[in-house]
Amino acid sequence: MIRPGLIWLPIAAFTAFVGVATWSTARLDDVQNSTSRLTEAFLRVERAVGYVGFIHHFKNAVLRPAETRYLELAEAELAQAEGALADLEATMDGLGLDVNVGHFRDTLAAYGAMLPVIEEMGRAGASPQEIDVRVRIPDEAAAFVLAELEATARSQIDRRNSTQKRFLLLLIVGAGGLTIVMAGLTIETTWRRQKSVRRLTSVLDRIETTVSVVGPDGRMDFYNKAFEDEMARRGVTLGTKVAAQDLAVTLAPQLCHSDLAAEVLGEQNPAHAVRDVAYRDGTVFESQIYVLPDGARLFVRRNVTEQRQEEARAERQQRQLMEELAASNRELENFAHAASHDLQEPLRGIAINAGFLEREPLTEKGQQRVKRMVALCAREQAMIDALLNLARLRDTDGDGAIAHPAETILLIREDMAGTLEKQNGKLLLETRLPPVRMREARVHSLFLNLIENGFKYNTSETPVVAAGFRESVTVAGEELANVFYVRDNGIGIAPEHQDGIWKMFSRVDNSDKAPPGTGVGLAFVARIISAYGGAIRLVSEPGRGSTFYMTLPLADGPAASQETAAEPTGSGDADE
Amino acid sequence: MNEMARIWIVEDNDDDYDALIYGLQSADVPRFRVVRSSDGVGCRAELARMNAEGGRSGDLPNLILLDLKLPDVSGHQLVEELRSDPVMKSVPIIIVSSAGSVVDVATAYREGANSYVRKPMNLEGFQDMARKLRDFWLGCATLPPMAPE
Repeated sequence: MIRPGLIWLPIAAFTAFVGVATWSTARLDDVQNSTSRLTEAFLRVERAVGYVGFIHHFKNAVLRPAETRYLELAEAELAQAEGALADLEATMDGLGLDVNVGHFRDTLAAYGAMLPVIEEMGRAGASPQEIDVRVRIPDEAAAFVLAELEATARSQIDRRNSTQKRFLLLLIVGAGGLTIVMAGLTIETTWRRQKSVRRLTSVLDRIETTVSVVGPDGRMDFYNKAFEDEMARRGVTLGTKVAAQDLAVTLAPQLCHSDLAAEVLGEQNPAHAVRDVAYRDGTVFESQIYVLPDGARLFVRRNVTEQRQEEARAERQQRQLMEELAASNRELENFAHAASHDLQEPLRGIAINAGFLEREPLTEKGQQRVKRMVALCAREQAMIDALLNLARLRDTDGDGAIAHPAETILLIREDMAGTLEKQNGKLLLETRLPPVRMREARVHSLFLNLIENGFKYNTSETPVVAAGFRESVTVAGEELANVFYVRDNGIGIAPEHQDGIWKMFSRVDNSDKAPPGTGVGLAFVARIISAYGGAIRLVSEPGRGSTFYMTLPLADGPAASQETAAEPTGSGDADE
Repeated sequence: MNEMARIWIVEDNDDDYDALIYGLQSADVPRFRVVRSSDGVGCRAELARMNAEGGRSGDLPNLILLDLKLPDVSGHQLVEELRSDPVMKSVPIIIVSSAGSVVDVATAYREGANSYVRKPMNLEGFQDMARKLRDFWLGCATLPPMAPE
């Protein structure tokens, strides 16, 4: 499953070694040749000069002066010896030897000079003894000189040859050593690489994710055990270098979609792609494809069957819940509409009849009772209307709109001008108010309820309701940021009533002496604020007025998070 | 207002009908005659009668006050029938209903109602409403001619 890597290195080294060895052997042969060439040259000289050559004839000429043919023979041999000597000199020159043949040549010349003397004395009839005395040259002189010469030349060529042999041997051993080192290095590197590959493979074999690599040639380069097992389950046996296309063709009928081949063959080829591969048996793999730098493609597949089933189940469940919720909301809204209508129908009847009764001649007591009936009808009517409004609160059309609370408050002040004049009251805007991401009608309801309450439950001679904005306020130890407030100098709310005021139809004072009201105002306010993910807090003390703090989604800031939308709470103190 | 106003009231609830009449009377509508139908059957019978007479008797209504919630038929259905009736198609229809949903209002106008009024919750409310209807429909507005051409 792993491609060979460094094998070329020892092969190259070995080839180099063979080359070097062949060349060196040839050089050694040369060296051997030169020695024999030298020996032959010396032999030729020796033969021409020695006892079968010149010296032989020279001695015969001395011993038999009457026979002139020995002189002729000696002369011819001398010429031959001189030729051989010239040869020898050339050979030694060619071999680069530094040997002086001058002495030997002088010796030969000395012999040569004696030949005319022998001839002359022979002609004069001198005896061999007389001639011998006259031309006495030691017999061995030439042999000695030549032997000396040969010894010198031999020692020189031996020295030189041994240097060359040493060098060549060194070359061969060096090349051989280099080859061995290369081979060793290659083996070491390959072994280490294989070891790390084995370790990596064993790691990859242990994981459940399937990993496979398709080489640029379209064949499987690598796969782990999980992949092998998965393919075995699919009835595919993976040999070595299986073509990815064959694999795709085998798998295609088992897949829910048939474009696996395109994926495997990399016909769409982004650097990295993630997709789900679903089998007909329900198994789903999340497939990631990475294109490697050499064009190979790495496939990493994770079995996500259970995960996808879980996701699908969760999604189905969520959709179902949402549908149920929507249905229940619709039902609730329909119910609220129907209920308010059905409740209103008889109530209107009562009101109309009470109205007619009021116009009949009645006793004073009777008149009072009918008036009470009419008033109660009006209050019931207001409560039903409030209920209907509350039910409609979930309607979120136009919630992305931006409203300006300051403008809303100025509008409220205009609308309440009459009430304010009658009560000698003042509605103040104490700071600039930032715009909010809310429906204007909601902002209006919010502030109107709080402001109306501020004047309604107020016995001060100069009732004052003030609205404003602070970047941070601490209420009962709780830090609130970006807070709107509505403060009044009204009757205040006792601590024991503060938790109850947010409840539907709850009124602190429900007696006839209390100002008219339905008890839904603050419930309405709390619901609006919580619908927008805001919070509302109360700080109040009986006789010293109340302050409501609210966080609302600012138009240019992040909307208040749902976490702050806790149940409204009341508190006796605040640090402003 | 030389001629007598003729108002056709389609209303099943007696209390509401009484309140409506009381309102019209106390709103000083000088001379008016009322025809009442209290359900779909009555309404259609009245329509047939008016068609049969062809308006010759001169008692065709010049204003229709119609409740949407009737025991046997939806008021919306009646608006459609009135609007497709050759004699009644141009007579103004004013819906007086306790139902006030956006859908009801939109549907009524689409079907050809001329205005939509929420049913008041007490006698004073009916008086107030009648005064306003008188001022606009019998005072300010010019109504279509009575007799068909």
